[in-house]
Amino acid sequence: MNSSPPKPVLTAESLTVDRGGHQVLSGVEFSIAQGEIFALLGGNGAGKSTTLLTFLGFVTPTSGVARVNGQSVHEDIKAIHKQVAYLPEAANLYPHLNARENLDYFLSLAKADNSRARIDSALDMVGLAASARDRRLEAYSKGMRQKVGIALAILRDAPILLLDEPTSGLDPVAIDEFNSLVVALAGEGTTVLMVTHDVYGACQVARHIGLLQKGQMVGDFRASAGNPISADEVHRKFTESHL
Amino acid sequence: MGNLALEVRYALRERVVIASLVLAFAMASYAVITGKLEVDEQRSEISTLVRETESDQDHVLGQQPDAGGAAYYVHHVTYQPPSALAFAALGSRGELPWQHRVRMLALEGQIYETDAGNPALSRLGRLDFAFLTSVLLPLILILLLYDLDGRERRDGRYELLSATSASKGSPFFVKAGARTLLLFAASATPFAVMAAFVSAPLGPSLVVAAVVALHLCFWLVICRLVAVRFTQASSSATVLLAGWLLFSMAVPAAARIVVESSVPVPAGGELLLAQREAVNDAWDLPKADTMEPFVASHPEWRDHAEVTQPFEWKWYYAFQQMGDEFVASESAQLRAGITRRDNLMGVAALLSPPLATERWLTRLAATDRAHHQRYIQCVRGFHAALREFHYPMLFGASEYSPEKMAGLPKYQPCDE
Amino acid sequence: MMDKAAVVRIAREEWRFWLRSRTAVAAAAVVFILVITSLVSTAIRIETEREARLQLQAIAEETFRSQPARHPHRMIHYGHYVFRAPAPLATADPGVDPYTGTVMFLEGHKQNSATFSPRYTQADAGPYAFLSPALTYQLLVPLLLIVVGFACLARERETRTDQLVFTMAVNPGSFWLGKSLALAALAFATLVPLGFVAGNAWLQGENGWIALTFWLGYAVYLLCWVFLITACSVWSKRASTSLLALLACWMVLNVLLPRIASSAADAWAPLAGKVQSDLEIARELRDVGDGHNANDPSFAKLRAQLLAQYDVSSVEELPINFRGVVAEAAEEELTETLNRFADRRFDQELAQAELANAFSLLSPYLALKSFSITTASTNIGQHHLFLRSAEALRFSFVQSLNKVHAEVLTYADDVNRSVDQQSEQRTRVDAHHWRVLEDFDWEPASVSDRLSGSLPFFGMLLMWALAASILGWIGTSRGAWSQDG
Repeated sequence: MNSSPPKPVLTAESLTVDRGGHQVLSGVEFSIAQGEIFALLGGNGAGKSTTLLTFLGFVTPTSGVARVNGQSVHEDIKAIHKQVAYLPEAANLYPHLNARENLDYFLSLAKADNSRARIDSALDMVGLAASARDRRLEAYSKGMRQKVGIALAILRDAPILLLDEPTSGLDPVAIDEFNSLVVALAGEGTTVLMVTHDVYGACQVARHIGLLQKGQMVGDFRASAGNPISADEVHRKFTESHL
Repeated sequence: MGNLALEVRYALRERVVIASLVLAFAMASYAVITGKLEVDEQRSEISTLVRETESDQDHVLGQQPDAGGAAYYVHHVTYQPPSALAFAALGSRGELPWQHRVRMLALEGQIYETDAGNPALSRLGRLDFAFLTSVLLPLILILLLYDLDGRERRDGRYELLSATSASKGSPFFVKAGARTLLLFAASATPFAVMAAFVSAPLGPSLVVAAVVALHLCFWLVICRLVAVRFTQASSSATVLLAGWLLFSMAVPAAARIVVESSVPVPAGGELLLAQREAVNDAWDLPKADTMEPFVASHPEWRDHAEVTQPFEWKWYYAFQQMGDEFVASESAQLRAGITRRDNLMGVAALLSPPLATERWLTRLAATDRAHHQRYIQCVRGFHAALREFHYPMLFGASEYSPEKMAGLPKYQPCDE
Repeated sequence: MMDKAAVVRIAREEWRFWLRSRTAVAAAAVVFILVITSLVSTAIRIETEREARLQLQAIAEETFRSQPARHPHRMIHYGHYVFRAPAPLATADPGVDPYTGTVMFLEGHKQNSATFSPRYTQADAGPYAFLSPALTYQLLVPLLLIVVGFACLARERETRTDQLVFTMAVNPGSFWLGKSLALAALAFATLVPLGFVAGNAWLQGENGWIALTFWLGYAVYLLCWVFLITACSVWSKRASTSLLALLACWMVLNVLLPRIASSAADAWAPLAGKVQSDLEIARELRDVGDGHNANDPSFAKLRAQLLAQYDVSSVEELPINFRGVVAEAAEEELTETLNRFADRRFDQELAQAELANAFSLLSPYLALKSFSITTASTNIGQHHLFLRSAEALRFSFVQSLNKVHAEVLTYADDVNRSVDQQSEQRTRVDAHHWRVLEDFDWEPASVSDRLSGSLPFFGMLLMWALAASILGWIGTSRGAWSQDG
């Protein structure tokens, strides 16, 4: 590869977040290039979700900056939200609405095209059975809800995707389907930041992995051309850091 | 029992429980203290009235040359003294008069005054102990109990709690019982202290406490029934509030409409108009038209009933009495109607524990409609005694002398 | 910056949520049924009473005027009855009507108090037996709004769907506003029946501005609750906390404070009982001469003045009936005393009412109650107006009859009327004199008085709505939304 490295889309510059005298994040640094899938790994309470919420502007860092395309998140949250699609943990959408109604609602709030044809094509893409689309989400399995969530992310046409524990609680088939979708999106140029505690799942899709522990980055792994990240190596590091 | 004591201690660790108990205690204290102040005020007003009425009577009597004038100008005060427990339930004392100033004229024209207190305040109602127990305590209990199961479910402890409970019954019932007990203690203590302070009779005071406890038990059962059926805290709260609305407002309001439309009472205005016509027509009729029916119903005055002058006092009082008797049946109907309405409402109160509580407490405090009616009856009895006292002098059976007026009947409240 | 389309969409979505939730629909149905029932039953009751009282009024006037020839003073004691007809808007808010006497006997030398309040013949059905439309709107509709709306924001916060909404480039302010709009729309839906009542009152002769203002007051009051609910929902971490806080608010503001206000007012400024003031009046009146007795020494001055004026030496020679003149003078003096006591009583009642009204600052419920009865003119002031009009009528017919007594009857006939039947006949004056009785048309307070009287309460309601909305707004922009990671 001899072209200059792609411009970073998401950058964390020594992110520090204090909450009640306790440092949730301290000096976290990373940067994610366009089209890259970055997985932030860590145990419970490592600060993964806080990092994600900082990029969404819901958490204000005590010091340091989270940047999207070079612009500080907290300068114009609305502008950031226009470029970012977010898939919350457990894909919490509205259980009293069906898939189409959920998508229609969120898309209209985002001022995106919410035509039925477009929604249906996205649901086709994520593989949600047509028969399920008019049923309320309260009757959905977790995997089905996740599909609606990812359909929403796709429909947003956002260049950046933030995923919170996207595969936790999914069965292996659903995980595979999900992973291939994410890889396909990245292939089209979408930048992905996902937080997860699933080491092997992360290594399957991510080209770049950060290991977070007690609010600090304790490991940084990159796949080289043709060589995916070694899950065993990450796993070893993960367990070491917990000792 | 050990379980209950433990749950009481647990409950006391919760901020919401403490706040509710403090609120209940403060409201109960406020209620009994202002109730006591009001009762004191009424007592001192009564003694002033009695004193001033006596001095007024002395003054008036000194100027009267004849029996007719003495009977005409002397006013009497009647009153219903507050009972020892009235501080807990002021009941109708705030809305209907418990004092009337009467004289020897036709009584029907004097007994229906209704403007007692300030209507601007009657409209708002009072915070007395009866209101607190019948309306507010259930609400506080609902707030304390509606989320008992829901909270444990959300925190994922529900199954654990149910599974590890040693006792056979639901652990939540003991939890709820502990909270109910605490609420009862917080609200009944100020009442007990005040009852002891005014040395209210022990028996009725204990019944008051029992009524409060029963009412709380009713709501405890309702809360448990609802909490078991509705797993979502918000639905159980909605259902409980709907129940509260139903029992404290909808049932009494509906019952009132049903009772009042099924038991009509004569219109007061018509009764008054009829009574006035009966009294005043006498002026234009031959004297015999008054005296003959009068003697027919009061034969003891047959020998003294002859009227020769255009105006004689005995004829004047005779037509006053005939005016009363003319509307006696309407008046009796009115009383019977009021009593019947109240009795029916007592039956309807079986469908509404808050209403039953309120009525029970006012009855114990002697401030209910029945006691008001009894007071009115007492006034009627006193008025009859006045006639009995004055008639011999008016009809000339005995001579009028100012000294005789020392025997003028004095109003005594009837025994409750 | 508000995003209008998003706000409306959020509100619509909230409505869809309610319509799909069984408890919300059931609660709304229950409250709507109660509102309609109270509207219909109160309208029927008040209309029946109004008609009955107006009819009795007409009968009373007709009876008085058709009395046969009599001594004029007899007619003064025959007296007259006035009936208090409820104001048109009493169908919406009866105010003090159930607690005040409806019939008043007017006669010479005395100011009677009103008798037969509607309360008199009612069974004791507890504190909320009168579910007037006003009370359902003041008490129950806020409860409905609470039950339906307490979780509107807290729920989203619990499931974190709010974050997803914000990542759609919707700002928290719009989200809060959308939820408030949804709740406000529900509030306005409940106000439709009240609109019919106000409209009907307008058709019945009520001033249009009054009817409109009345309705607007309720709208602002419900808006207070809408913002209070969304504010509570914003500030609560959990829906159950929000519900608890709102129910506690409702209990304190709507059930507790009004009663504390009334018992506090009574304790601070106790009102002298009716009998007690009657006794005081009696004591004071001892110095006023008895108008039945022309020889009462109190009238010596009047006698001397009249003898001098007509240049005669005894009352028998006067061209007018001295007894009538005395009756007229005595009535005037006595009425002055009576009015002084009546005014004192009115002032005391008003002072108590104002003390209670001061609590309106603490409770929008009380502010609305005062606003409502002032606008509908069913407040204590209106009752005083009735009493004053009745007194004016009493004084006017009594004095007209005294004038007849002085000018139509001769003194000699009058003095000898008890001698025999013939003399008595000579003291009867023709029945056409009974036409001096004026119709009792008692007008509600003037429109401008009612509007200006209710203005402070309207202001308080606006303040509450504003304060609650600011509280909610701060909640959205302050960290209340930001979440733990």
